Amino acid sequence: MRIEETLRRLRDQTGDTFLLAVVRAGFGLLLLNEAWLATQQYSDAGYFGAHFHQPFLPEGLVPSAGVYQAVLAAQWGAAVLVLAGRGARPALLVAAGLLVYTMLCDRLWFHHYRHTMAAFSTLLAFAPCDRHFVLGRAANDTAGPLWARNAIKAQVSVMYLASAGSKLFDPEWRGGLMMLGMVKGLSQLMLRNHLPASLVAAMQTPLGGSLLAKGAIGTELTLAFALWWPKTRKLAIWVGLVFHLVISQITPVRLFTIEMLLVYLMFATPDTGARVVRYDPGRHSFATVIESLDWLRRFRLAPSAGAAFVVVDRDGEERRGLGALASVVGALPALFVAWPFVATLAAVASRRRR
Amino acid sequence: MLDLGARGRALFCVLFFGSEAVLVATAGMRSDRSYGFRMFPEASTIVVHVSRRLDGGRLVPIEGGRWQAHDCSGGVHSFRWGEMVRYPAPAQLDVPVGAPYGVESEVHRTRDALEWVAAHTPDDCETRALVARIEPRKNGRVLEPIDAEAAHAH
Repeated sequence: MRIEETLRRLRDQTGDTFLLAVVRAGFGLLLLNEAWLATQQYSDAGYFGAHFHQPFLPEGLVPSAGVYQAVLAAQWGAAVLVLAGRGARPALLVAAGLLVYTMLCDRLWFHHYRHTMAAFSTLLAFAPCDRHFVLGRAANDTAGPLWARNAIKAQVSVMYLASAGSKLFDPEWRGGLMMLGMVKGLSQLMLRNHLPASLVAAMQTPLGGSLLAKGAIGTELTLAFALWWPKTRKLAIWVGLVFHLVISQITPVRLFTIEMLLVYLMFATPDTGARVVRYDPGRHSFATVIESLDWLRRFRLAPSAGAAFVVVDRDGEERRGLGALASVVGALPALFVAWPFVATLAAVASRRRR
Repeated sequence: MLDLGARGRALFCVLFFGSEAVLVATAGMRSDRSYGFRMFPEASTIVVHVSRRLDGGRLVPIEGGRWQAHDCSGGVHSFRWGEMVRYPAPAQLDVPVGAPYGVESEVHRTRDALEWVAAHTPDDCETRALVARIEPRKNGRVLEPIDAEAAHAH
């Protein structure tokens, strides 16, 4: 059966683990931020058990003030270990467990980004995410099992499907009433984030609300599947990037956006240095810019005096001019937002040459 | 321990995603729809007005979120709602407060907050019960007010 074959392939896949380490380091920073937020709340408002809280757990399992301080210390410790790469994988499980425990001790602590942070951290703990960026240890370039990376990708799809599904089956959401109310409530924030006033006004009309709602539902449903299919993956990553960036501009949601952009890295093919940039160091000094922006190690630079600037893609195809530029822009995170426009220009230019 | 073999990977995924499926399917049973990935469920607000029911059934509104009452020895104490009930619970009375997880969640929080305050103000020997009138607005539509009452613990 094809499904069984696919599941076996996803279970048994091995490959480069560099991107897993990048994601691990990113989650280390997010977990440090969580520990800082919790500590700040403790110092501002005091121990949460001393004022109204809403535990899921029986009150007897809610930590006392002293035990809660130990929980905070453990959150800091786990986050530091995750970032440092030492004992990172068990630390990811501990961090996830503490996040869930604190949310169960007080439902007021629940946020979707904390839930997803706990889920992703748990999955990451089962991935070989500690072979690069480890304090005091050289990188280990050997291939590792990537099944947990595939589970993280599946988690992303589950989230999009659940989120879109709940909106699709809610008539007020689907019809745009909720979006209308949300935009009205957040209009000042949007203006502070430099969205044009005319756009903010247009979003506050019934038509604007309806279009936003259907757009959001359609985007989430599409991303749940399009991120997996090789032919649509790159465009889906771009659409998802823009989708989450737009959400972060029109709502106070930031941490969830950062989380999603990190896990999107899991959809990039795990093959460092699979693309080659051939260039003449005397004429193509901009190649150093590619090197400095190649945070995900997508390229191997091959300088050669007198060489034409050529990007050899992972499929072996040589690209020049706009095609080469599109290849570069499509693989460097800092430039990726421009990729569809450059790729379109390259396609038009290629068609004209023929 | 974290490097699972083929069978372990399959078992882990079944347990992990099985739990996720249960959480998503049962999210509707929780007032805040938590753990179901229901992002931005509503654009709703509530206004909470709280009064103290005294001896004889007389209702005295709590104004500005503060009230004073005698303890059982006759000493006077000041109480502040916002000190006992903090954001994101409805910490402010008589003004619209956001309900980011929906009206049902915020009403649930208000009822529980009422019970908590009633149980944690032992120096208020005058109040027999705390009574709340909750005025919800769901996605811009005004809904019927909801009344809640919590007997005082003393």
